[in-house]
Amino acid sequence: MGKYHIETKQVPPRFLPPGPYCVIAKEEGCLGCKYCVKKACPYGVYEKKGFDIKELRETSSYYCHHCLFCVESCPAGLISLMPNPEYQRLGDGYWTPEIITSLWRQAETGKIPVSGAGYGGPFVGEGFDEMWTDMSEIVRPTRDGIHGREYISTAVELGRKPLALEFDPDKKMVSQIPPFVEISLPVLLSLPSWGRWDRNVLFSLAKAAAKLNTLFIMPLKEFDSTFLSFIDHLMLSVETKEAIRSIPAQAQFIEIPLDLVSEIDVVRQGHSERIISVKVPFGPGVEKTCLDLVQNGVPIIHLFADEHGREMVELRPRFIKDAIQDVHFSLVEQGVRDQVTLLASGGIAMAEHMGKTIICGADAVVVGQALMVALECRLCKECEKGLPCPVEINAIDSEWGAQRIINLMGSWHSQLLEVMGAMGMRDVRRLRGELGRAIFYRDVIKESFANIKKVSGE
Amino acid sequence: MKKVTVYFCKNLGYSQRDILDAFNLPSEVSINLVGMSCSCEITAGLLLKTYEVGMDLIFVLACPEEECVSGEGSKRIKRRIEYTKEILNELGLEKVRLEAFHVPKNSLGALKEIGDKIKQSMEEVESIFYG
Repeated sequence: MGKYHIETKQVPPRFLPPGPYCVIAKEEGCLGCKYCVKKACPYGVYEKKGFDIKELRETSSYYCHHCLFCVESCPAGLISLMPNPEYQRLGDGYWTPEIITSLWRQAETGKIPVSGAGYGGPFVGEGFDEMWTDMSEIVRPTRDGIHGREYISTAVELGRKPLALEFDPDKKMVSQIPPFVEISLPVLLSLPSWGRWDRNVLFSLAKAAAKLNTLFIMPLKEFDSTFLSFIDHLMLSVETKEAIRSIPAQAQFIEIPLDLVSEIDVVRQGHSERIISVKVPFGPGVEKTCLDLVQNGVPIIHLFADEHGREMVELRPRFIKDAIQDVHFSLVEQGVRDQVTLLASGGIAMAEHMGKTIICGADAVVVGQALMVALECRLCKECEKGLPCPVEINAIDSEWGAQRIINLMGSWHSQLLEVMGAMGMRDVRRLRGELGRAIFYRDVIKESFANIKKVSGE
Repeated sequence: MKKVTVYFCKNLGYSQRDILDAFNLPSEVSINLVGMSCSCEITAGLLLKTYEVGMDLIFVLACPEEECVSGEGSKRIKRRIEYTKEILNELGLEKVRLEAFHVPKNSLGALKEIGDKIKQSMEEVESIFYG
């Protein structure tokens, strides 16, 4: 099999994304300089800007990189930048405007987002920001880049794995190898838990999954014969016991909720090659639930948190990175971790979240909301209130949507390669549960200050 | 169908729903609400381009002059509107097609009054066309 490569290409947005600042260029008082600073803009904002006939506004805020060159240089001081309230209202405290804008740029270009020289932000925060990846091998300059001859594999297998192979005296293998599938990227595509998504969106995801060689977790109720050509890349999500009867015979991957786990044999009846995933919410006792599932032969467990990565409890919910560690290490302690595939979803908003979730013990992640952002969703959730979508997401062309998702995944793939290359890792399967490749803020604090407390206690 | 665009300063704090409800325009009117970071973003060029794409009437909702976040957006908008009206006049378009209003913050009553004025302007434009 050749090297895995994601083909990205420029896919412009349909709607003008709001930029963080609006360029205000006043005309009153213009000195009419021969060499106007607007012509010297390093990003060509004033040349590129136009009039967006859909949104009835000028497009300069989208192209502006807020370098302040024009603001500083205009001799009459006529140019200024103003914070854009529309930008500030995007998303929420977790899905920040910066994350949303970065996802848009990645979906448009397929390139790794580069914010500029130097980093002015904080070095520690909540959630995934409490954790840093240890890029100890970065001292060696890459000889021929991350796409060079030192191939880094991002492929993972989904399904149950035997812990050992058995052979008869004639050296013939007697072990039955359970069905499994290899996907080229440790990411499965899905829909968010909210929203109203039409066929064009579903087709975009299915096409992208096929192109990326991964799976799209699609609700069975949305499936019809027009999706049959993508069936090898669909994991059909069954919600009710009655729906099991309507699973198409060709379906190889099925996801069921935890309360239907007793129906696994019914799902497999006549289709022993089917790979079944059980969807389990992160919450109290999830470790015991997972252990029971593994002991009952469940090949894949999909653990899900809410869209902010918190487990489903009101009081002091664990964050996904901590909850997945607890599940992973409880299975390691029981000696059964390698039998099962753990998928994790919820709060995966950036490429680094994918790598960090895998370091914490997941085999692969499931992404939903970030994909909708790639399709220009502004996370306003107006659709939940029955109001029209400001970016008419259900009217997209599925080819356009698929390429936006491919671009985003292409960017995430490149970032994963960068991180793994810097760690000296050559296979994402080795990254799973490799906590030695991460530094946790709580550990740093403990190491630095534990002794001080001890001394003061004495 | 009459096409109306309302540019409004987002610092006023009104949502699009607030404005639509307060204006309560007849259903045959197609209304576009465009939020701006400040009314100083609105220039004669922008207004003329908006007419170019087929708008019949344009209205601007700006903050009170002394409450403008950029200090001068609300002060400049009236003059820019007057200037654009002159251009409209030269082009043979009626001045009633364009108006700017300084709206107090948190006053749905004031918004309703502006809605009435907009309806009046629409009637005027209609009477010019149909006598």
